[in-house]
Amino acid sequence: MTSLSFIPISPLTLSSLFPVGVDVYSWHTGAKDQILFLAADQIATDDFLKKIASAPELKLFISQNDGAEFQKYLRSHFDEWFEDDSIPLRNKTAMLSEVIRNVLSDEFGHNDSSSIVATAKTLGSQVANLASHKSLTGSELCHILHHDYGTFTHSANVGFYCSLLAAQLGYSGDELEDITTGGLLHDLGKLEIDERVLNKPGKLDEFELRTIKEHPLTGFRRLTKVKEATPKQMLMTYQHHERLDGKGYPVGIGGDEIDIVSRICTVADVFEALTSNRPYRRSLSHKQTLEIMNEGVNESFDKEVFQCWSSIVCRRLSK
Amino acid sequence: MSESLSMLIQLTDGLRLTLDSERGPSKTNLFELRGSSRFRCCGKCVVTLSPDSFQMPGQAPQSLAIVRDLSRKGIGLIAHQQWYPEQMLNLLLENATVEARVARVRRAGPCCFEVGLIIVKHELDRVADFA
Repeated sequence: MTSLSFIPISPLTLSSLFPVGVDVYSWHTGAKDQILFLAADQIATDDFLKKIASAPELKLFISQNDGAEFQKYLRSHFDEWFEDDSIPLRNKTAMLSEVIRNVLSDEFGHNDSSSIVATAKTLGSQVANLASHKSLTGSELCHILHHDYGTFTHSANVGFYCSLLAAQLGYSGDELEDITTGGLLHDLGKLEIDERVLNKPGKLDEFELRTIKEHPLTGFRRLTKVKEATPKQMLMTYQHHERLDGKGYPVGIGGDEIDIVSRICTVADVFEALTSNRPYRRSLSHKQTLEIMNEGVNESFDKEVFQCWSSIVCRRLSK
Repeated sequence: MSESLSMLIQLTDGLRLTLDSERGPSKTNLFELRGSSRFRCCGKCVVTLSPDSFQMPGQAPQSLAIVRDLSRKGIGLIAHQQWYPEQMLNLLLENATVEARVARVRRAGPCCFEVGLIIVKHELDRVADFA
């Protein structure tokens, strides 16, 4: 199977009410070819979906050419699913994650900051709505989300993590939506970086490193031009690479000079980065990631925020 | 100058030394991509956030700052608080008023930020003073 012609989808996006409208394939490690799993016009039965839910190793794919059609399926039923209490939270989260990745990809592609902020706000509100249900655990969320390396996937995941973390820290309502939206927007400045630099597998030279380090500033500048952008979103974009010990960038502020929403974003950002595949390394396990991050507490990360995130992730790991 | 404003900057030793001893054109490097030379100078100014500009949480709209260098298109300040990129500031110097846009900010120490601004407009009150 070539990764170029197929894109992964979450098994949780399949529904027993509507056909997906595109052929869905499965693939197992070591298998030579993909197998047709569900035909475009087939509707999955509830039993079938239960079996899928109990097979976490199952990987499903659709043809890259069917990406738009799959999004049409998700978006046309999304509101209905979102309101339906019989649909488990994890399925709604998976659906929303798929939609967000695609919407962000579209919006970032058009490169219109006002439109990006407006869209992120709508999506942020839906994510915050899901995250405010305390039943969704961190590790469950990590399992549902995609972990390929792409700015859209990363931004979508950081949005989800910020939302869960902020909800756990006591934020709710408009503030929670605001923080979630900030998480979705935090890497806006990367739009101005050449993809060859962002995806370079080798070591970055000094000029490339400087270019990468400009992205919080570039993203902040973009948001200053958008009337709807809020101070929280602007600070999360500007300060998410600052460190508590003052050795971060772009300003080098430390401690309480870094806004609490930015400290939330930093923890979510680093956790997401380490648990995702990157062009230059494989993803780390949650346990390894938390151990590495724990070493950076009080230097890179806010202790209280990190411990809160750690407890969200470990709650499930210890079961 | 406003009498009610206090100088709240806590200068680092390095910056104090620079302000006390360095004069003339300041050093630069390739990565700074500067279009014109900066000249060291040292003076006070009143910084006021332009009413049309956005304000960030916890920012005082007016404060005292130190002018550390000047170029044809830019001005470098030392301030006690963070100013944010793209904010528009009105600077009241001893013999000139300047409208400038914040380009970048770097923390040098507690209550000490180096602020680089792009001059948008300036007016000299007494041209003879520059002679």
